[in-house]
Amino acid sequence: MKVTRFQPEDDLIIVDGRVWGSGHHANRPLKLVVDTGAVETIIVPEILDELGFNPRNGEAITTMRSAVGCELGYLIRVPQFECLGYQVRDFRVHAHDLPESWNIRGLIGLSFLRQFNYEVRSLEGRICVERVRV
Amino acid sequence: MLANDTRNSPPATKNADERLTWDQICQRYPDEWVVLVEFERPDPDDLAFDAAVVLSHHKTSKAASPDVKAALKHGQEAGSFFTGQLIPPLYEIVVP
Repeated sequence: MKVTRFQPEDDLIIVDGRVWGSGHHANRPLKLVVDTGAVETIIVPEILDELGFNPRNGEAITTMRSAVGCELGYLIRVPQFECLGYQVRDFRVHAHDLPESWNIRGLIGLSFLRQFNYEVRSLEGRICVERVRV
Repeated sequence: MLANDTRNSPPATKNADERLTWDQICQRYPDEWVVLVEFERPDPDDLAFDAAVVLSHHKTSKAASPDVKAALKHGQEAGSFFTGQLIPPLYEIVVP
């Protein structure tokens, strides 16, 4: 069981994550919002660009519909991704812009979370995560 | 000034090795994007950092991106972080 701390007084559950680049060993730490309502794990394209990823290497082009129209993104696999105390390899993320005014660089969605059992202890500012082998 | 403000200049070169805590960084560079390197982590298995060196600071994440890219190319662990408030996706503050 791994325990990750967050600031319980914040409006969002913000945790530290890390994503690795493709052609080198560079890795980039980033702050992510835990979002159990999101299907995919989203990272803004700017961060993936910093790590040397290119939309041309993506698995698919995506569109996200909102009140103001459709916005394009892409799905891409990163060699390694770390969050909540666990590392996963060959992990698919959704590269998609989030409104700049939010100052959020990514969301941890169910594509990552569903690999674990987890308990969010809001008052204590702790997320307890356990990987269960089935 | 500890770190370069590269809004209108070439990529930053670190001019101070002073490690600052996150609270100190937020006080010194409020509501800015800071490019951090040389993270100090008490527990190597925990991504949370106690302190880091500020490579540069910027008004937007886009402006910070070239410095992050350059540091990553040199094999450094680097990232940009916003020192102000993060806004939840469902609303935005229009009038402070």
